[in-house]
Amino acid sequence: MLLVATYSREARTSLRNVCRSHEAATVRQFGRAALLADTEFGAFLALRLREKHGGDVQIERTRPLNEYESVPEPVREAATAYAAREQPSTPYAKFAAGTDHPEPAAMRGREL
Amino acid sequence: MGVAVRDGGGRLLGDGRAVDLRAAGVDAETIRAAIRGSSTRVTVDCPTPSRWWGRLCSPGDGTDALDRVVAAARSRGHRPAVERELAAAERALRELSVESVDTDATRRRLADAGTEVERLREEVATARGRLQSRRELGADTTEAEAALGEATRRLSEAETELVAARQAHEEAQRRAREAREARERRLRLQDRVANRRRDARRALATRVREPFDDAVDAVPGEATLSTEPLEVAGCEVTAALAAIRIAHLDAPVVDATDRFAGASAAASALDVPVIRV
Repeated sequence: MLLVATYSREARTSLRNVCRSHEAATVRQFGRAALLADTEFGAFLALRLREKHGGDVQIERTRPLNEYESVPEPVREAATAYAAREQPSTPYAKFAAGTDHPEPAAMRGREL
Repeated sequence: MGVAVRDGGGRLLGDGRAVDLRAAGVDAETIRAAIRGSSTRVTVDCPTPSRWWGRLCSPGDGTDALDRVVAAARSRGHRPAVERELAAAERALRELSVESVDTDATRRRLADAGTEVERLREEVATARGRLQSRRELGADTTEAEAALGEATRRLSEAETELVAARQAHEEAQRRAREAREARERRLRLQDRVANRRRDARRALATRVREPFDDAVDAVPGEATLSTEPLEVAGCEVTAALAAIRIAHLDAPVVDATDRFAGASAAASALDVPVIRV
């Protein structure tokens, strides 16, 4: 999908108008950003906005994350375990210390 | 206090608190310019117009009714507390510099480099195939070998360019991300300015709501000022006249509305010198 984020009031207004007039091509609208369909028409709408508002419009291409495909198992397990921790106030770094769960710094250094 | 209107030659066209120029054939725009001191055809001796005069001086000229009410409140010296925050936000917005975040050139270079590498990979494969089949046929391979060598060399160059293009694009993207921080701040400031401006207008309108209602009773027609939602309903000209009545204006008003029997009726209802055109 195409993520369109806006950085000025004018660009935000244009984006809202586009989403309102093209509901079929709008997957989701969030205030100053929107997800447009991954179609030529979605790209057309996004590029039209960038033509009009230049650097105030950011366009990124997104895809759904399949964690079973792209995220290593220890990371997934750490997320599950941390979400189920007993002490809600424990920061992750402390939670992971002395366990098999990956260190935050190590995770930061590895790209998916 | 009265005003005096003269033509370009210094001949008196009218004076006093109520001047009727309908017979003189002078239009409203000329009179407004003369009041601002920028007409050569006509001169108006009167106090210098205040900064709110422009929005109030011509009832029926299409100026937004709420803008008029807000200008009238300011002319009375009202300064809502929120204006200090508004001024601070406006200053911050003016001082914020926003860098350009255009990555168009590096995107295009990267895409072109990718296409070129694809094309040359196919060319190398073709050249390799040709060389292979000539070997199998036992034919002369000099030319085919040279062609493969040349294609391989060009592919290697293109791959180098692709790496460079990717690095350049990543660098441009990083700069763009940083520049977007400033745009992010700018958007927040723009929103703050808009909100504070709305708050200031609401506060000003609220301050003059009662005088405005009273003023409407003193001029022809009906209009009401409400603050929730913030709007002026009813006749636009009536609202304009009421705003003039509550405003503190020294410079004369230019009336072309036909709402009053004459210039003196207008001057006494509006409580300001009137030039009728």
